[in-house]
Parts: sequence; C-alpha cells; structure tokens
Amino acid sequence: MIIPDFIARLTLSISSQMVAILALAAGLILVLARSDSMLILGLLAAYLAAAVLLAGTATSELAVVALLVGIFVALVMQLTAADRRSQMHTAPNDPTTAAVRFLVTILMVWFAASLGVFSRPPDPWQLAEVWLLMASAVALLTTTDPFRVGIALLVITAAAMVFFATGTSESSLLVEGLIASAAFAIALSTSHLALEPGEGRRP
Amino acid sequence: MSDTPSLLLLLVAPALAGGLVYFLRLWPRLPHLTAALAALGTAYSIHLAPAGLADELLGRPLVLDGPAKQVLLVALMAVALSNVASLARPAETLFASTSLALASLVGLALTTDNLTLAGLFLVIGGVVLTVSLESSRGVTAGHLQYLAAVALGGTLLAFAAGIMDADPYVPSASGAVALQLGIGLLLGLFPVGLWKATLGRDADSFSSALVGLVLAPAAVVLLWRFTWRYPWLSSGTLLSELLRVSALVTVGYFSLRAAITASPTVYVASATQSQFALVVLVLLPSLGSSALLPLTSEWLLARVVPVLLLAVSVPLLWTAPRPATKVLFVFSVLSLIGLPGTPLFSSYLAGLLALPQGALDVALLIFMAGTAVGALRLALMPPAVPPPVDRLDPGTLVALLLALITVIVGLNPAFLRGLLA
Repeated sequence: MIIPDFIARLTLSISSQMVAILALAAGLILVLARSDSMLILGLLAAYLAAAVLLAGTATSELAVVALLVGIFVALVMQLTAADRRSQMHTAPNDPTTAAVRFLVTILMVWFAASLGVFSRPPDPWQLAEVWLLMASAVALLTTTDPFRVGIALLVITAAAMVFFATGTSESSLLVEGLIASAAFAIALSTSHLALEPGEGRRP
Repeated sequence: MSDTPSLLLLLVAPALAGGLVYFLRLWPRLPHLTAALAALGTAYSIHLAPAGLADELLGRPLVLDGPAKQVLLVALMAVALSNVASLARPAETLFASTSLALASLVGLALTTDNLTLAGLFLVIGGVVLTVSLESSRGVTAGHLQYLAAVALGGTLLAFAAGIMDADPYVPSASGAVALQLGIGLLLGLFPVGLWKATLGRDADSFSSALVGLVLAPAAVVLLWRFTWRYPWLSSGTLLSELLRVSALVTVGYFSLRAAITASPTVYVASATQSQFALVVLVLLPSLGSSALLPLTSEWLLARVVPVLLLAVSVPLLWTAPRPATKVLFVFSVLSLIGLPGTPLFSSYLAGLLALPQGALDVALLIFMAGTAVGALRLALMPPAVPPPVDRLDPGTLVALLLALITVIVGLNPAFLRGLLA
C-alpha cells in the first residue's frame, strides 16, 4: 500500500491552509479564466484539494480514488482542448464580458465571506464544499461554452466526493465509484458536445 | 434449482446488449432492431418476474417492488418502441447502445434500497444519454442545459438522501430544499422546465422524447420513495403544494408555448412536457403513502406510444408533406390529448373520476386547448418543400406502425393494465 501511505504522509506535510489556497485558486480560475489550459489546471487543483481533504478526514483509499479520477478527467479534458485547437474550434462567445465576470467574482467573494467561508483559521472543508460549489454555479450561469460547463460540473463532482465521504453515513467505495463514473461520463459527454460540428467552429 | 432469474442479471442485461449493439453499427438498421428486441425480451422477463424479487449489488440490497417493476416496464417499452421508430432513419449514432444503458441504470436506480445510490445512478444514466441526443441545427445549448440539469438534479437528490439518512424522522431544511431543487430540475418543473424547451429546440424531437419517457418517470418514483421513507416531507413541508403549483404553472406555460410556437420541434417538446406535468398532479395523492397509485404507472405507460408517434410524425410535415403525413400528425395530437379509442383516453377518464380535487380537470383542459391550437397552426402552415412523388418513405411507414399500435392498445385498455399487473 505505497500510494495510500504516500497520500497520508502528504496530508501531514500539507497544511489545511494549503488546501484552502488550492480550493480558493480553483474557484477563482473557474470563474475568471477563459483559457482551456488554465481551466484544466483549476480542475486539477480542485481534485487535489479534495484528495488531500479525504486523506485527512476519510481514508487514504478514497483519497487515491479522488486523485486518480481528477487526473483521468483532466486528461480527457486536455485531449478535448487539443482536439478543439486542431479542428479550429473556438469557444462560443460567452454572454458575459470580462468586466461582468470580475464584478460577479467580487459579489461571489462578498457572499462567501458573509457565509463565513473565509474564517480564520481557514476551514478547508467549507472552502472545498461551499466555495467550489458557488464558483461552479457562477461558472454554469455565465457561460455557453461546453468545455467550461464540463469543467464546472466536474468540480461539482469533486465537491460531491468530499461531501459523501465525510458528511454522510454513506461513505463507501461504491458511492465514490459511482461519483467517479459520473465524472467520467460528464467528461466524455462535454467532450462530445465541445467537438460537435458547428459548435464554435471558426469561419 | 430456482426458475426465478437473478434480478441483477435482468437489470444489467440491457446494458450488456447495448455493448454488443455498439459493434453492429456497420449495418444501418441492425443496431436498432437488436436493441428493440433486447428491450422487449427484458421487459417480458421483468413482467414475468415476481414482485419482491431481491438481489444484491456489492452488498447493497436490490428489490423489485411493484412501483419499480411498473416504471421499469415503462422505461423498457419506451426504449423498445423508440428503437423501432429509429428504423426509419438509419444513422451511425449511439442511440441504440445508450438507450439500453439508460434502461439498465434506471432499473438499478428504481430497485436499489439506497436513495443516495439511486440519485447517482440517475446522474450517470442521464449524462450517458447526452451523447445520443442528436443536434438538429448544429447548436448544443439545449444539450448543455439538459446535461447541467440532470447532473445537478441527480446529485442534489443524492445529497438530500445523504443528509436525511442521518436521522430519517427529524426534518432537515437543507435536505428538503435539495430534494425540491433536484426533483424540480429532473422533472423539468424548475425553472419552469426551461431546459426542456431549449433541448426540444436544439435536439431532434425524437431523441429528446426519450428523456421524458425514461428518465422523468424514474424521477417520479424516486420522489414518491423519498416521501414514503421520510414522512415529514409530505406532512411537515410545503412539498405537495410546491409540486402542485409548479406542475400547474408548467402546464400553463408549455400549453401556451405549444399554442404559439412556429417551430415543430419546440411544439413537440412543449406539448409533451405539458402532458407530463399532469402526471405530477396524479402523483400527489400517493406522496407519503406506502403505495404508489396504480393510475400513475398506467398514465406513464399509456403516454409512451402517443409521445413517440407525435415525435415521429411532426418532422414528416416538413420533410415529406403529403396528406397522409398530415393525417398522421393530427391523429398523433388527438391521441396525446386523449381521443376515445387511444391509450390516454382511459387514463384521463380514470384520473378525472378518481381525483376530482386538485385542479386536474382545469390543467387537462388547458393542456388540450394549447396543444390543439398549436397543432392547428402547424397543420395550416404551407409546406416548406414540395410533396414527394416517390413511394411512402420509411418515416411515414414507422408513423403508420405507431398509429396502428396506438389504436390497438387504445381499443384494449386492459392490455396496459395486464402488462403492469
């Protein structure tokens, strides 16, 4: 069991503040970034935060599952992004401008602060759950790009993994496996939609 | 040795068949034919299986109780008939495989004892179906809205079950809100079912009809299970009132939309969603009780053929305009609004007699008026292309076959009840 031990050691070495920074960065990238590569980086950060949290509060095996799922769905999305570039696809024009996104981000931070998400010392669980869910909801409401919708839904599955493993009595590998299957299905479906002929194709 | 088949095997059989069907795509019609036969075969086995048949999935109990059996039969019949209808338009899509996989996942969601798992099975099934929803105009906004609604709705159901399972008899505000949002998204009631209209606009009417025929009925049964397992949901919250109001608003909105739209695909989506919202009104008396009103399952099964007939016949008005297609279109609308001699007539009549309270009669009238006005407008529109001079095309033949099934089933209402018994 080398990998679970490694995760357990990693958990000890990475402080909860580090998890908080990862979740915070992932949320901000999700709302503000438009580059495919940045979005994939945000996705990886969200899954890494989820894995480290699971290693600390649930079991190392679940943390490994979360980490592997994150890596694989990020790979699927990376291949989709590469295909989009090679097929001259462009992201469809989003209905929101950069200024509106910035304003929405400030509102989101203010709302999260009023909910006590940025308490001191930082509560990594709250950041991984409330903050990431809020960022995903904002991303879903402000885009029509299948790629970004997919990333937002995948971040929600990362938050769901943490919730079902730590917040309910239903913390089993079966539940985590089903969430992982849902994540793969979402990655493949959004990849299919992002590469649909006519969707965002450059003239 | 027992003659009773394994429940788990019955449930995964369609998915296994879907895997095999995937390799038959070189032949244009064979995948749909095989998928239809596989779904019919499984439906027959489920029909013969005794209610209460139990099994296990990785240590979790699976039970084929009455409602699960009935709605699984509805799903399998919808999958079988939609694949029969797909014979008219052979295309290299994943529809045959994904529809079978969806039936399996819906079956697992209906039979599992654990509502968290049930919600997650629905998420996977709904998401998998996305790849077979064909885009009619090269635009995928409707597909994305559908994907987000199903993924969020199913996850919210699982979340609600996770919270409520901590103490089933203690009300949980966050659990109740999550359930209401999740069910609203899955049934297309919140926010006023907008994703259904957008999906109807962007996807072809035929593949999007399957969403309302397989996924939505499963969500109806899960809602009933929630209220049965957590009694405070029906007695201590406004769930019933919220469902009634949102169902009435949905009927009104989609009936109006069906009446004024000039788009045939939006018409199909609006008319079928308006008709589906009526099922929610029929479900209300069952909430919190230990049994699902048999009328609900009958209603869900009776709408399968009329909905598919409408989805097949509407595009024909534009692709092959001839008197026969116009007659088929009018008949499909009449069968959806419950013409005597069609399957929904007895369901509507039984609903009106059994549930005099609850505004079902008003909602039914609004639905009928909106659907009929919209149909009249579409039927009177001049054809976009000249009438074809060749023989009957496969689409018309399939529509004729579905119309024949509608008449046969409509004239034998006992057949549907016997199937569900």
